[in-house]
Formats: sequence, C-alpha cells, structure tokens
Amino acid sequence: MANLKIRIAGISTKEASINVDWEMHDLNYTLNSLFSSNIEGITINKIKLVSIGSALTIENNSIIQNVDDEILMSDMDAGNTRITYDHVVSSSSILEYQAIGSSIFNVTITFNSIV
Amino acid sequence: MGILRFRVAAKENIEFGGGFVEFLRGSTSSKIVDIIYGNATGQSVIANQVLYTYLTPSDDGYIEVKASSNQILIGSGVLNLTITHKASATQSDQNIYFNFDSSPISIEISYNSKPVAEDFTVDITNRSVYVFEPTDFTDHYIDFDNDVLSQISISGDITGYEVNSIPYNEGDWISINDINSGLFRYVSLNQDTYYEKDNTWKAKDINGNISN
Repeated sequence: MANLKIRIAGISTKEASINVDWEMHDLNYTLNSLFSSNIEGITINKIKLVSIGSALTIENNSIIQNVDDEILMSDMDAGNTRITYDHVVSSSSILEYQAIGSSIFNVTITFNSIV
Repeated sequence: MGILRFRVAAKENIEFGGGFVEFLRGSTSSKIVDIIYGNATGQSVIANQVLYTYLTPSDDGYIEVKASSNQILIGSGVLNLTITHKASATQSDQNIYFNFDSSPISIEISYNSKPVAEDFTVDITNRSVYVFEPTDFTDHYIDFDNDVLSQISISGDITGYEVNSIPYNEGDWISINDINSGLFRYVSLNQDTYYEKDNTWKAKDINGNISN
C-alpha cells in the first residue's frame, strides 16, 4: 500500500496598510514586506486575486490581471509582477487576495496615497 | 526350414499438446496446467512424481513440474501437472521442455507483475472539495508490463471521500473511468485550521493484479 495524503490549508486573515508615495513598485516587494513582518516561516506558492481597488492595476508578465486570476510566487520572485497605483483615481484603494501555500491567508492591503 | 521372424514395433511416442501457464513475477506459487495427449498406451504417473526440475527452491527461476495425481494415460486425454515456480521480479517469458516416457512436452510460461503504487500528496484549499483526476493516481503508478491502471481503492479513515456523491466504503474499488468522470472526490472539513488527511491506496492493473 502507498500513502495518500491530503493537506487541507487553514485560513488566516492578514491586513496591512501601505503608504504609496511613488507610482509603481513590485507586488513582490509588497508581499514580502507583509509576510516577513507578519507570517514567518510560511511558504507561499501563489496568490489569487479577490478584489482589486479602482486605483490599482496589476500586471503579470505584462498581462493585466483580474479578479480570480492567480499569480505564481515564482513570477513575483522573477520581478514579472507589477502593481500601479493611479493617484488621480482615488487617494485610497484596497487590494484583497488569497496567499496560497501550506496555509491560506486572506490578505487585505490598503494603499493610501501620500502624493 | 522355415523362417521365424519377430517383428518388433518401434516405440510410439505419446503426442502431447503444448501447455500454457502464467505466473506472477517476484513470487513463488504453484499452478495447475493441463496437457492434452493422444496415442498413449497405458503409461502411468504417480501423484507428485517429479517430471522436471530447474535450479533449487531457493533460487530465482526455480521450476518443478510434478504429476498432480495418479494417472494412467490411455488413448487420448488430459495430463494434469502442477508447476511450482519461483519467478524473479524481472523474469522474461520462456518455454520449458522435458520428456515423459521419451515423449516431448513443452510448456509456455508467461509472466505478469503486480503494479506498484507510490506515495503522493495533494494540497487543497480550506473548505474545498477536491475532485480526483486519473493522473493523481497514474502519475504515481508503475507497472513492469506497462499494464494500465484499472482501479484504485482507499483504506484508513475514509470520512469525507465520496463516489458519485455517496460516502465511499473503505476498500471498495473505484474505476479509473469513474475517476475520469469526476465521481471520486474528497470533501474537506468545515473548519478554518490546517489539517492533514492520511490514507493508503492500492492499485489494480487491467489484468487484476493488485499492488502490495
């Protein structure tokens, strides 16, 4: 007999607030900043976008991402994922996503424009 | 003077048809093989009379052919033989040849292997339903003969497993066709915390051989 293991991820909720004083930066930077300070030791394989605030545009491999799209961590590590904040649209915008690995984290990031 | 002549007939061989038997590689077992014969003239065999041996019982490849019972061969009929064989894990098909009462007998031996099921892990998200796909199992399945995977079974705590939306019964065989139709799934618990579900699985190949 061989072993069959099913690992069922847990759910945690994380929130963060980021002040945006420049127009564009890597999502990888955002993710790592959040996780390194809040969720030690968890390996995240990908994220799944849940909601994207109106001031935000997310691109992966130069393709604009929408709700329910998934972005591999390897793409983020490679610098292929970028987020753009349009200060004209709104002074605050929220990004929600699931960070998926051995556990799942529902992450909410509030971007506040300080331009 | 007259001539007295004895005319001594030449020996007439029994005409044996060929036999065929299949063994499982990597195991020792005994099988009955029926050999059709004709032209017999009262030859006899005693139960367990050894007709052929190759190597010794501890050797891979060992073969012993014995008579299955006391039999007297008259005219035509069927000779019942018992073959005990220790087949190696990589044994190739072969033919064995031996004589009975100077008459040749040949038996074709073919082999099949048990499939091998390998460990695997599935990661799923919280509170989700995981629908198994054939590749979940075929990607972790090895068969020496390249026999395709036919069925699988699960053992252990099978809570949450369903076949066609009905709770799965431990040890039941599920066809790959049913899995391909999306009928086999695992429904995770309604809880937030991470957990692991551990089971064991077996594979059955298209010839009915079952993995250890």
